[in-house]
Amino acid sequence: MDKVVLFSHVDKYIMGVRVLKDVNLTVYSRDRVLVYGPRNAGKTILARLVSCVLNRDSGYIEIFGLDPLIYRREILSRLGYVPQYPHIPPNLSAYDSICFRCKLLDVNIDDIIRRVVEYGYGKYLHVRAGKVDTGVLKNILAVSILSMKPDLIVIDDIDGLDSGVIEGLVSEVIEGGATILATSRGRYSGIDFNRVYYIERGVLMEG
Amino acid sequence: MYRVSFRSIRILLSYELRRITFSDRFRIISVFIILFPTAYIALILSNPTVSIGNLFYHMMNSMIIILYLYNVAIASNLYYKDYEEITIDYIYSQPVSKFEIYICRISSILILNLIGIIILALYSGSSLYILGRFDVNVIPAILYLAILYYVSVVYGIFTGLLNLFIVNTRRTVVVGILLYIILFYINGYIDILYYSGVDSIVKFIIDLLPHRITLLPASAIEYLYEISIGYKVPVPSNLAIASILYLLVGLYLGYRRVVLYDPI
Repeated sequence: MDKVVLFSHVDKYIMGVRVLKDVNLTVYSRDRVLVYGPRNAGKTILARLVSCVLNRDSGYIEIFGLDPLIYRREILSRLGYVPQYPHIPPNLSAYDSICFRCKLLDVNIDDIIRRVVEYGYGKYLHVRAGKVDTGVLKNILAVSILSMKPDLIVIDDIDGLDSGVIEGLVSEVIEGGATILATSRGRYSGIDFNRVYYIERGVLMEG
Repeated sequence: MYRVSFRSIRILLSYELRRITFSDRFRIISVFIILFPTAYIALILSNPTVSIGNLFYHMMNSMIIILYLYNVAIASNLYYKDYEEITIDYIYSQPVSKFEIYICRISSILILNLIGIIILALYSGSSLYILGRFDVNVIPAILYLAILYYVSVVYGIFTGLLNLFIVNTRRTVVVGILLYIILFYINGYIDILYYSGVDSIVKFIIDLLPHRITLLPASAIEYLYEISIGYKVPVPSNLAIASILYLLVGLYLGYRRVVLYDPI
């Protein structure tokens, strides 16, 4: 099987604090991986490293067999990252941010908007992000990102997604052959994960 | 990391311009409110009897310092604002290089300021036209005023990027900006040092200090009317060249901070 994510002895420091300690992780194609752990355990940092938002401090990372420091653009055009928080500038609407991603990936925005409306979020699309509930925004972003059918999906804090989105779109994308890496505070049971890891104080363990 | 796609830059730039215009619209409006009355300073520039003790001269000086400090604040907070609004993940998880994001952020600030200053120049020109003070002498005065404002913007962004390289938290950004304000207050003492027969190398270093932008209005008066006003002011073209060099140094320092390392 193809290796989609490879972490080898990865360390990460934030403001001088070692937040990930010697992390080794291999995710194969079509894997469904869950990383769970308490608050400030390093789940979001791990998700950000996979999504090329942050750079590693030591060790080696490969995503789709490519080094994220060099092939960031190629990796991110095949990867969909649903962040823990909505991450949309408060004075822009969700539509603006979806439109921005669609233009970068050269995807037809109408198809994506149709899916967002299908899941019942149509009325929030053109409202400024600062006036919409963060949970709703997260689901809108998730629907838009998953509708683009990425090869690897990284969902930070999967508990924040609606059950409708999980049962419908996430299951559809998994059936389509995508690999999924999700993080959660507790042991999430909404998806049948084939590999589960536990993280605490930056140390990743088979869980 | 170093590859640049013009298509991505175009899309990113339009998104950044929208983001800054809409997110910071209150700040932009406040700057415009400050700037518009200063357009009347073009009036004084068209008057050959202007002197360094004139009230309009001091107004222009103050406005240039405000514009400079405003841009220092913007460039220093280039990434901290992302963490406050928690928007960092969305923009950084798009299929574009960090270098492109960085370049587009700086360019969007420069473009927005340029648009503002062009509006300012048109406004002052039309005001003078309405007041019947519009003649050939006024056109270089207004153009020079616009260049002065833009040079102060570029100086401000450079200093802000320098701040971004040195500091780690929002608190140190504030301390850094306060230091620049103090530098403007002690400007007079630095000038005494400048004219007290120090080595040329010391004068050169003093000339590099950001507070020297306060000499821009004086240099404008010297340049436009070919009169000496008692100050040994730098040649305007030197200031413009220096501002571009400063911006390049600032860009490099910001690049090291933001692109090569994480902006946290």
